[in-house]
Amino acid sequence: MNEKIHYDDFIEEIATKSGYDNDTVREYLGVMFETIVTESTKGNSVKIRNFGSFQPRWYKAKRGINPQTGQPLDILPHYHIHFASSKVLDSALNKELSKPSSSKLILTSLVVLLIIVFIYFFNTSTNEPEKAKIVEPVKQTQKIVTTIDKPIEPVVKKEIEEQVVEKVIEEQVVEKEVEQIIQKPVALYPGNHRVIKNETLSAIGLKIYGNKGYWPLLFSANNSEISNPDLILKGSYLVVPDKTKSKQLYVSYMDVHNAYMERDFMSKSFWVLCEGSNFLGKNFQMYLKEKLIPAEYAIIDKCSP
Amino acid sequence: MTKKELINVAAEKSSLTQTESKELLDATIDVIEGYLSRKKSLTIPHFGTFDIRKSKEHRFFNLAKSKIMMAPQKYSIFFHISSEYKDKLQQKYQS
Repeated sequence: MNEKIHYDDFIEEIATKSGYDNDTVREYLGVMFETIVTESTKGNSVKIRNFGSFQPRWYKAKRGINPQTGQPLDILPHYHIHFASSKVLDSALNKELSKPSSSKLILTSLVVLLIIVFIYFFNTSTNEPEKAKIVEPVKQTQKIVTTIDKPIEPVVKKEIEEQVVEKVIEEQVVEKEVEQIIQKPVALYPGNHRVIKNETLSAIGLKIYGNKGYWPLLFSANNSEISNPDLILKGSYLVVPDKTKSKQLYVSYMDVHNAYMERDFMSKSFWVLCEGSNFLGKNFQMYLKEKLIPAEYAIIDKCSP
Repeated sequence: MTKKELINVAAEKSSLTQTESKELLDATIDVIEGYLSRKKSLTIPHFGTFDIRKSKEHRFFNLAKSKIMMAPQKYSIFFHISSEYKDKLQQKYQS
C-alpha cells in the first residue's frame, strides 16, 4: 500500500506554496471540488490542463456476484467518474523508470566514441615510427649537404631513401608471413573446410559441390579423423577432394558402407541416390549386386544438381 | 468545462479575484503532482482518492500490426469517488 497523506498537511503545503492563509485555502478547495461535482452530475466532463479530466460514464445494468457470500447480485444502471490523467502527469510519474534507458544510451554512445578515438590514435601511433625513420635520415643528409657541394645532394638522398624503403618493405613482408602462419586455412574448393555449428556432411557437400549426394567423398577423404559419418565436430577442418574423378566416389561409398557395417547401422537406409545426376552410373548398381545389398536401402531423392 | 471556466466559477463562489483563484488552483495541482510522483496516495473529503498502481511488464497483441509486442512496466493513477459523490450521481439518474 502507498503512504497516505493527511488532508491538513495537504492544505498547509498549498498555503506555503501560494502564500495564503490556511482558512482561505480550505474554503477555496471546498468550493472548487464542489463545482467539479456539480458540473459532472450535469453530465459534463471537467478538463484541467496538464493534470487530467473527470469524465462521467454511463454503465448498464448487469449481473454480478457478491464476493463475500458468493450469491448472485443485480447491479443497477449507474454513472461513474473516470479520471484520465494527462501525458504531463504520466511522464512525471514514470520519470524513474524512463531514466535508465536514457543513461544507457549516453553510456553506449560514449563507449562508441572512445573506441573510435582509440582506433584513430592507435593508427596514428603505428604510422609515426615509419615516418620518423624516413624523416630523420633526410635531415642528416640536409646537414651534410650544406657542408658538401650542391650537385651531390640528389644522389645521397636517393641512396638513403632506398635503404629506408627496403627496411620498411622487409618489415612488412615479415609481418605478412606471421599473419599467414596465424591464419587458419579458409574454405576453398579443392582445399579445406571449417565445420560450423549444426552442419552435416551432406550439407557441406551441397555447399561445396552443389549436390548433397557427394558427401561420401568428404567422408573417405577424412576417414582417418572421422569414424562415424553422422557425427562431425564443430571447428574441425575437413579436406575437400576433387569431385571430377568418378572412381573416388565409388571408393568413398565403400568406405561409408564399411563404417556403417562396423557399427551395425545396416538397418538404417543411408544410400542417397540423386535422380537426374549421372555421378553414379553402373558402378553403384554393380556394387550393390556384389555386396548383396537390397535395393530398399537405396533411397532416390530429387536433389538439385 | 475547461480550466478557465473552473477558475471563474470558483472565484465567483469564494469571493476571490480570478488571478487569486488561478494561483491557488495551480498550487493545488503542483502539490498533487508532487505527491503522486513520490508514490503517495491522497484522499479529499466528499470528493475521492487519488491512488497509484504499478503495472508489470507484459505482452499484448497489437491489432493494427497483427504482432505480439511488449508493454513496459509503468505507474498509473486510479481515482475512486467518495460515497457522497456516488449518491449525488445516483440522484441524477433517478431524476
